[in-house]
Amino acid sequence: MVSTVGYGVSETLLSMFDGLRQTTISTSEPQREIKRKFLCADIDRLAQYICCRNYGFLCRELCFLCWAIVRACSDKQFNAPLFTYFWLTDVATAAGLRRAFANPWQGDQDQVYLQEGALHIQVGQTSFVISSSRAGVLAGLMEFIASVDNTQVQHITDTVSKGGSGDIDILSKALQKCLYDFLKHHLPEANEQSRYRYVTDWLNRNEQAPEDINDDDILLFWQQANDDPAPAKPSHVRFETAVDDVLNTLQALALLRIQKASQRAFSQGLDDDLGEVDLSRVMAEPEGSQGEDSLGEFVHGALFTHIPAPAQPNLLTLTPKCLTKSQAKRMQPIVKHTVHLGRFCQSLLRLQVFGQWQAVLSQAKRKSAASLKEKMASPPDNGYDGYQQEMIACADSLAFSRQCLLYALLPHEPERVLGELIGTLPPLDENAQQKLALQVKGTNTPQQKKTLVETLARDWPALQDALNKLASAYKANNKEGFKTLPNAYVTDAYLEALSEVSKLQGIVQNHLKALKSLGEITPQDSKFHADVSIFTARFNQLYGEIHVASES
Amino acid sequence: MSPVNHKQAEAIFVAKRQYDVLSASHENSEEQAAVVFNDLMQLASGRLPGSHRNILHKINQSLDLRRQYMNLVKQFSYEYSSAQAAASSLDTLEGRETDKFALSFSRDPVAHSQIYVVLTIHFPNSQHCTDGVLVNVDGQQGIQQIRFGPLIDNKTQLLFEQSDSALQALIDPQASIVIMN
Repeated sequence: MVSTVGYGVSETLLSMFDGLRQTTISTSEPQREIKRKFLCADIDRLAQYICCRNYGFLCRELCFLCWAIVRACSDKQFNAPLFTYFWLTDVATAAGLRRAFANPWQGDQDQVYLQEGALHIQVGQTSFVISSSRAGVLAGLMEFIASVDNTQVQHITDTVSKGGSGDIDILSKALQKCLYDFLKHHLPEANEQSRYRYVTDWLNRNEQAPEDINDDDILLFWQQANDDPAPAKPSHVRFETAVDDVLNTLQALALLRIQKASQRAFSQGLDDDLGEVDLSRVMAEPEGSQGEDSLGEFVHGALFTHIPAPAQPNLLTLTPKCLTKSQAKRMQPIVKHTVHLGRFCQSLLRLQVFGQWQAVLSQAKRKSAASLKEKMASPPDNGYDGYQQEMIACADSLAFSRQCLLYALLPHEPERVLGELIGTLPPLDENAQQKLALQVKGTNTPQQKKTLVETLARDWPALQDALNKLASAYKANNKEGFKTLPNAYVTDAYLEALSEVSKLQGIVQNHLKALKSLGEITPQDSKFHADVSIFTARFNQLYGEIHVASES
Repeated sequence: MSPVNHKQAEAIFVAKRQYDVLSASHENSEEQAAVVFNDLMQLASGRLPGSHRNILHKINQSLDLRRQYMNLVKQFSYEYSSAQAAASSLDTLEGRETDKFALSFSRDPVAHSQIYVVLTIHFPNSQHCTDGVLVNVDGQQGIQQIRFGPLIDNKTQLLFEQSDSALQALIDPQASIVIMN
């Protein structure tokens, strides 16, 4: 029996993704260093394909890649090019892919060659192009397939060795089926669908349009869902679940509307009533004509394509360590609901403050009635202001980590670091700007770049100050990954952390801004006290003494 | 809004929810992370120490992973020697020999509790002579990895305490011994 505790994701699948994220490889001679194999972003991307059930094209891409590997990448040591490519070389990066295919290959009617960073594959009449930036996600998929069913690796080897493009299609279908069969058990949809339906039914019953829902409605939804005696209803005991369900439903409806509107705009030119698309009419369109594949593509497009990749605070708890685990956990809800930071600021605030209290209560209930009673008597003490302070502290941690990351990256990526720093300095006059541009222009080699930084800093006191600040921040940082300066080999992890820090800084700033303007409308103190009584009453009902007595 | 028309929104809802769980839940603890195929390959090829992220320990805990690992090891082996019929004991210290390698044991004449294991490879490859020889032993106590130093005159040796589990596994006739390429 597969256990799916967390929102329809099985323990097995979760631990597989944990495994994928922690996967390490050791480089070939002479360094023999162990580093993480995949960028977190690539594993996240793989998770997106899988959650949207949009892995058909990805499988096909992988099959073509394997076809090319078997022919164009020779492997004298083991005569097993697929194994060597995916598991014995550092190939989960664009540079790795380009290295592996440095030599073009030519067959009778087939060929494999690199051009402008993309791998061109000609199989008989069929041509296929794989961008080298796909290296990570494709290697991730291969890893995932091999870990689901490792006999597939041999099957892929056998098929692509003999096959033409027809065999590739059949193989791609077989891989899809393998994933489908696995996900059927480990990523079931049914329970989650019933959550969506429960929320939309509730909206219908209350005759509420999705656009009109506000923070108090979400609170009301949680209250009513907990009073609902229907036996088969999804559980909404946790306030967090209620917030997640409502916000995700609203987001799904909004995305659907945007997608439909843009499709309509494409098909009909600029539609006059674009701004007034009638939701119920859009929703009522027949959808039976669409197959599973295109549904997955649609979902993937709506959720993840053309928007910046979702932030990943957990990444920052790895090396280089920028956040503590509890900080990363604290940011999770606002990261999850980035699109709703402004409109549902109050709900997110309630979730962060009372959701945490609820977690404490449910822990205490498992322990003893006395412990529960004690916790119940002490609601979150610092109120909403306390939470705001906590978020400001998170913002400070991020800013501090950013400085340390920049310092660590300075020797390896001077342009990038200078670019970031110069943007924050007071602007130069025109003469100095021209001089600067001239100085930057002539530098190409690493040595020149290093000297450039030194000269610039000498001539430009503001830059020197900024660099000094980075250095002293780094010196004060004793966390994992900041004790000794990293070598060139592991800079990827620092770059990835830097971009993640930037993303989170933006989110936290928006959140703080929303909190501030919320505080301007209603004084947070009185709001907090009103909320305490609402939540205390409900928690008493859910966990309180009567409840404990009847259960024991 | 009737739910039957909501297939797409429902699919978006489910995908978002499951992605949130999958991308957020990882606690980056070594205990909970599954052993993926890469780990087996890296370990089998001697690129990662078995203690790294407790991989060898996890393999030994799962019959399925153990079988997968041994299959891989055989695929990339120099020579595979399956369980032997002959009995052996710590008193007689019977060696093991195939066409490609020989394993012999000799007790230290002074310190009796110490035993030398001499590994002879008849047709070594260049790695055997520069990096040493990696040996996988699948015995009663699970899989163990033992690394011998580089060959000199086709020979390399290690000294073990008699109680060492690696030695016990090498001596055990029931164990399969795989010399890696």
